[in-house]
Amino acid sequence: MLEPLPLRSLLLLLLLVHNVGTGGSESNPFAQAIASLRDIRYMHEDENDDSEGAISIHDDGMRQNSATMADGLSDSIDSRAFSPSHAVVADFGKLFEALVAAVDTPLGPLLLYTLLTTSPRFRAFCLARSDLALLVAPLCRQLAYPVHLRTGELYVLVVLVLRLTEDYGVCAALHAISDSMADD
Amino acid sequence: MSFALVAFGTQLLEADVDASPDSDPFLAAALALGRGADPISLETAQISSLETSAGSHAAPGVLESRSAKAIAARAARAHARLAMPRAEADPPVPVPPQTHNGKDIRHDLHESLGGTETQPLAPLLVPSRAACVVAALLTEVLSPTAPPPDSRCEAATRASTTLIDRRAQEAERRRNARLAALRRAREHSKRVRVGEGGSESGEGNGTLGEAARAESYNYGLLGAGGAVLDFIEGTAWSFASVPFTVAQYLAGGMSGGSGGAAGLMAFGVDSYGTGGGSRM
Repeated sequence: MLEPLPLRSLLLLLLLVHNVGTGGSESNPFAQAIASLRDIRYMHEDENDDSEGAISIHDDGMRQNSATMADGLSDSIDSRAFSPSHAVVADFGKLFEALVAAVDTPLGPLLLYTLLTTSPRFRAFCLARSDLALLVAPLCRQLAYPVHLRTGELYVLVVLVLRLTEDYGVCAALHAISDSMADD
Repeated sequence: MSFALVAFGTQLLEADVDASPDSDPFLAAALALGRGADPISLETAQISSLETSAGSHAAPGVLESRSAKAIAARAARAHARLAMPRAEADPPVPVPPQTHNGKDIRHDLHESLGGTETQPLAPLLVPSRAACVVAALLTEVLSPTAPPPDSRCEAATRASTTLIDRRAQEAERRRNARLAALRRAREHSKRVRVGEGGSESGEGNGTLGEAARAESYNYGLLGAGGAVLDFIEGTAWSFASVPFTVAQYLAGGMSGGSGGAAGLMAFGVDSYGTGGGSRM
């Protein structure tokens, strides 16, 4: 369960991002800010590449991300929050780790949904990770006992699983993991 | 996206049932957003209200001062960082100069956005400001924070209560164990006194009295001792054994009788040593 300050911050963030007026999501600057979310490790590559969602994540980078996950989260966002291109810069590895820790909470799936649907770079980052099961397994575990879920929560969870399993590589990796668990 | 809005709107309402829009700036912002307020103007009002609440420290029902301070400081930082010349329609906002490494941040930011000394960059202000707000909120969401003092006190109280309960249970367990050991010792000593007292007295009587066999004295003393003890304890077994005890006692002769009497005396004073002394 989140503490009061992070909880309220998350609620306000979700409200601001999803408050779509008559002009659609393109008129919401907060949704645009989330859409411009960039990984701090590949910020320079993104600056050279103007195409949307063109982030390139290498295996070496993933390992490096995992090794430095224990660093403070605040520095990764706050110190470089405002880049010349108006992008919010975050450490995607730490963001992923935080989402894994919060996906069991009621608001964790909502933040994950927001990031996956709004930020194409973060979605590409998630789909490229070899340990995506850390994120999918808790979602499936919650879906296995839908009695404890309300309709809205159930809906978000289903959408999340569908969005995450759109990628063929992710499905193959998840099946491989489930097969190995069955063999064990 | 309406379902997500409904879902976390429900969470918002469940997060703090006692909050009211008058006392909680966040709830006021949420309600204003729900009524179709402009997010940008709302965000400005949000910063102002939080700065006010953090400065007064006394607004009842407002976020606790530490939290409000943290948000207000971050929001004020973002506000100052982005406070640049606005569009002509907007009123000018006086902002103190913000420097970093001896350089004016506003000037650098202004130039980095492609502006000049005479040309403001109003269209770019809105997304950049929103980015700062989003970054601040994300930072707050992801930053690991220490548990608030109240929960720490609660945890300490719970731990001490558990410790006290555990100690009380341990003391109760020890007391019960002591009582059980005492009961076992009493039962054991009762059996030892009857058996050994009768045996030794019987031996003594066997050597002293030639007219009776030691065995019969043993029975007699056992019966006598058991009868006396169980008579005190109030059991029926003792009464059933009394006739047999008396018959054996009488048939044993005077020497056996003296041994039995000595054995009985041993029980009376609650010490086997006296019974041993009776053999002398």
